[in-house]
Amino acid sequence: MSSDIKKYLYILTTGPEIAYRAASPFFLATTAALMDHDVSMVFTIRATGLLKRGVAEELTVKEGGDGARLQFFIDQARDAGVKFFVCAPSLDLNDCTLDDLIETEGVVGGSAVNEMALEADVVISF
Amino acid sequence: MADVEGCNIPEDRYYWIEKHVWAKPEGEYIMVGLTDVAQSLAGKIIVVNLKAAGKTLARGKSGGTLESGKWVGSIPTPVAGEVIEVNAAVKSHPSLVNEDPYGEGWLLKVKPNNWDEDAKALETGEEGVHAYREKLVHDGIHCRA
Repeated sequence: MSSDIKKYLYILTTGPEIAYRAASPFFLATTAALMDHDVSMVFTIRATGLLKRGVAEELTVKEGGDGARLQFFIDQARDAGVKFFVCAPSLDLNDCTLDDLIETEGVVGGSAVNEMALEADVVISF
Repeated sequence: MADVEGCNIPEDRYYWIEKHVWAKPEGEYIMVGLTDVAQSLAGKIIVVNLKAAGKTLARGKSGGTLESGKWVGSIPTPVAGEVIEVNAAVKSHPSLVNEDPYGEGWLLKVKPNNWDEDAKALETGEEGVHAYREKLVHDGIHCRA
């Protein structure tokens, strides 16, 4: 990997219960990916709920705003090459299985998340 | 300046039409910017983030990003080489990209590795404008109402 390419890891913990917190992590991840960095997002605790099928299409980021839905930000991130990983224990916490989620790069356990953080140049948590 | 579907497409630029970026030789350097089409599609640009001078970019790699509200897009460079200078004015006044995309809204000055080779992959002159027109018509893009 070129020294110009940095590894960015975004760790999300907040889910659809606080809609206004949902979009920014995806936006930041997108900007990093569009600068040709290697960008991953890990969804844990309630954030896994953001990836449930049907949620992002309906989740309005700002009540009374321009009506932007979370799906726009997710699509933008995926188009830019951002990778999505789901924390395995959070699936049970959110009463779902991998099949209930939109396409991701897969599940990761606690050790893997720690390793990802260790290897990353930048870790940002939300 | 050719008016194509309401977009300004000057003949003196070299276009990477799919990416809506332009290049123009100036002495030993190549100026790079967004086309009028790109700025029109993007809407009001509020943030411009450019790679730093001294960075070496392969053709097609990101020379920076643009943000307009909730949208963010990359600036794929049409020419491989070293970034010699970035336009500091657009970083402090991003709307220059909207107002004057071929002039004060330029983005990067690049010292090319092999301009002759990169230029072969770009469209210019009357043929370039014609090719751009075909793209705009095909995609149903119109810059101004």
